[in-house]
Amino acid sequence: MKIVNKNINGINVTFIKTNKFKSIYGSLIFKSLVTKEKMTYGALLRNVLMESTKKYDTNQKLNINTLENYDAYYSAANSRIGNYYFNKFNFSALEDKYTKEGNLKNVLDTFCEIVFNPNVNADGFDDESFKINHERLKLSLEKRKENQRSYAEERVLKYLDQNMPYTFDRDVDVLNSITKESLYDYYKDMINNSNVSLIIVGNIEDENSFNDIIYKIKNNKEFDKELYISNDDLNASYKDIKETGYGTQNVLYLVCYLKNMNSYELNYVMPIFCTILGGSGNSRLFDNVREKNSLAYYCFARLEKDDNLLEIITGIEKENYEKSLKIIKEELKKMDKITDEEIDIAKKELISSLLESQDYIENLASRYHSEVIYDLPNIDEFVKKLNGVTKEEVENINKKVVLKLSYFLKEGEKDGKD
Amino acid sequence: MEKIKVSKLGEVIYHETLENGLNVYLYKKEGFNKKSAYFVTKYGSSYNDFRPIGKDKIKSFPLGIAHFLEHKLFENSDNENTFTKFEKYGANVNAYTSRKETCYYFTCSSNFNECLNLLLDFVGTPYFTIDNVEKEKGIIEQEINMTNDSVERFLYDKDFYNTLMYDNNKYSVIGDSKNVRKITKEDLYECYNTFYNPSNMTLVVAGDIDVEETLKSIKDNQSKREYQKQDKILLKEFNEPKEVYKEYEECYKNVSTPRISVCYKFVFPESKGYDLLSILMIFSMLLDIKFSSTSSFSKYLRDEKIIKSDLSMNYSSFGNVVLLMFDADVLDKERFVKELDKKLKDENYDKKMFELYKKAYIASVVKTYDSPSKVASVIYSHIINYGEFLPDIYDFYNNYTYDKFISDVKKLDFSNKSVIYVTSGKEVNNA
Repeated sequence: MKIVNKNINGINVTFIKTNKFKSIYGSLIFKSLVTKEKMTYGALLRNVLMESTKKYDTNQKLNINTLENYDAYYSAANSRIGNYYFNKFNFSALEDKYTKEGNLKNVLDTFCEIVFNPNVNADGFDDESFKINHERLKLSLEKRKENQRSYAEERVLKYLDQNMPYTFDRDVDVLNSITKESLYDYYKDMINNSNVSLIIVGNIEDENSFNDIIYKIKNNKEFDKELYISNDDLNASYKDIKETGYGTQNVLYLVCYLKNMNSYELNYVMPIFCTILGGSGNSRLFDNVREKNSLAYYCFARLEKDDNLLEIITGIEKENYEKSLKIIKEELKKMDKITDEEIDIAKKELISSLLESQDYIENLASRYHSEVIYDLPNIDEFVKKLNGVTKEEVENINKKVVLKLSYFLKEGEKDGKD
Repeated sequence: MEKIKVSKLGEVIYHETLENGLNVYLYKKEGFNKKSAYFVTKYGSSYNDFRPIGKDKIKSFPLGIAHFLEHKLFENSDNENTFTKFEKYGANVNAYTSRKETCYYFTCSSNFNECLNLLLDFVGTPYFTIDNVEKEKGIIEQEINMTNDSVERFLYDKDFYNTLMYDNNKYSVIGDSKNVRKITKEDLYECYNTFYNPSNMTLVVAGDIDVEETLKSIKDNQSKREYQKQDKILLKEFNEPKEVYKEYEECYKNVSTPRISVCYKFVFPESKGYDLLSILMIFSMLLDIKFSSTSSFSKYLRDEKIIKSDLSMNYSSFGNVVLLMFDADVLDKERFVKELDKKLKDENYDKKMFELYKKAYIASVVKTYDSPSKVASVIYSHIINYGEFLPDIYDFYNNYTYDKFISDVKKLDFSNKSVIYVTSGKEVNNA
């Protein structure tokens, strides 16, 4: 595998050259500072762009075109990482030798249509494409109540500092205020005021094949805001919240602030800490909450390093709330003592899953993107550094993990009414 | 060792049936980090009435026992957690149970042979005690609660329940609390001894492996074990009629919008291999041409204010039965059913779309070989679903003709269906 970085037309273009796959994959990424509104605008925009284009002005026509290109794959995704918002547009196509000469070119043409030639008229986005996706997003937001765990994930944000970007969420009120005109303004803002990068993976014979994408970008903006969100100055006094939901599961959701951690601790020490605490079937939480006490089917910890947060999530019986919370708090406390075996296993697990992930073409692109945004070294160097983390570093970091919130979403009334 | 050539792709799969009857498939792919193994038994939640090995009579077991057994095989007599054993090698182990099979698998990037032996050992060495069986009941009840929160899962299971008259596929994989509480360690051993015999199992290995060395390692492991000789497993036969169990049911769940599911039932002569694939192709093509995002049907239903957003569809086959399922957030349930019926009975199928989908199916076969673990899952899925691995599927798609499809699709009888309507309101006991 060979990685080639180029700056073309002011854009960072990365070619990850490998013969491992039969496909070519590309990811075009627009990065900008996050705002609360963008969470909803971005989610709607990606679906409206994937719905139709100026040339393929109905979803039916666009989908027929993908079949004509040997079932090419186009996708769009949004994510907030720390203080930034990312709109990603991806394509995947079989190499021409498995299809026909010119297939990749056709796939790239359609990709450019999707991203750069949207189905707009004088009033903004096409009415049909806008309305159906507006409705879909509204429904999906309403349906979060149908699942206790996703509803708990939504509700828990309400009890954290509302100025912090990790509480920004897709929102029905924002959605109701979006018009096809305002969405088109947001689209233009994304195209013209983002930091843009392109990553191409596969058996790349001609780097110039992708110029049509690159030269569509007219402006590339730089941002200097810190990626990581800091909770260092926030009041960490513990809150205990209980609410009633609508489904049958009872979900216990704990949030910890990570205080005064540097990027070494967040990228190398905390993943090990999180794996030992609740990252696998061998973790302390899985062992104590599920295996020893039969309290839950799942109990895991999740590290949100860009937000300086650690979360613990479990589904339990209502009457086991006190007992489960007690066990989790005790396990958190006990994280100041780690065995050599635990740290060894955690490192092996993290390294193995990182290496395994590199067998998927899309993961090669996303890993490279992570290396850029988190300023990480390549995988070999990363593994070396991870292996160098000491037992003392993991034990000591426990002092910087501060339990901020315990949120318990109880099962709904049995009549199932809202 | 048999070398199976995959048509048109230049790929080779190695196969050997061991002396104890275990079917082993190996797929070597250089340059990949991930190595994986899948140990699969042809035993899922629908195999609930059978003659246990060494017994004379067919016996019925509590619903959900195959899934319960899957959980319990992770228990070891040395008290060391199975997950820990794998994680010591940086490997991930897991399992799942479906209506047709139970599959245990791991992935790793190093120490492959050690992990492979661990897999064969823990699946091959049951350790059930009264205490560890009781302990699992609380965990599974939590899993039942988790799945109860999914309306999609509820509808999927309910489709099976309301269309099937007798077949054990009628019941959900996980079972219910009442049945789960009845399970004993003796039940588990009877199920285990009957279905976890190597002659009823398949092992598929994939990644950058040494084929000879891996096969030797598997043979060494298996030669140390003794298994009771297994005759054909006798299962209770269900003469499943084409009629559905319940034509209409209204259910109450926590839904923000009413949801409808319509499930059509078809009964075919029992078949396997490419003959079965031929039957299932009718349903794939039918759904893709008439109902997928390349058709205008969803848009029509939306424009007519019959559904709220999108139409989901799926089919499932087992034994000689195929179920064709549609569901949507619905605004007008009567018209939804009427329009579905009308569309299914319309015999016009666009030939251009047929050819495009054929091209897409062929492309999907090529794409599979971008991932060794995906190849492994295709191999064992073929064995479970079609009774054998189908290496010439590329050619099959290539040679599948429009005329054949039209002649087959015209024979389908869409008159047997079950409708489920879910709305919010008073919760009732939904079977």
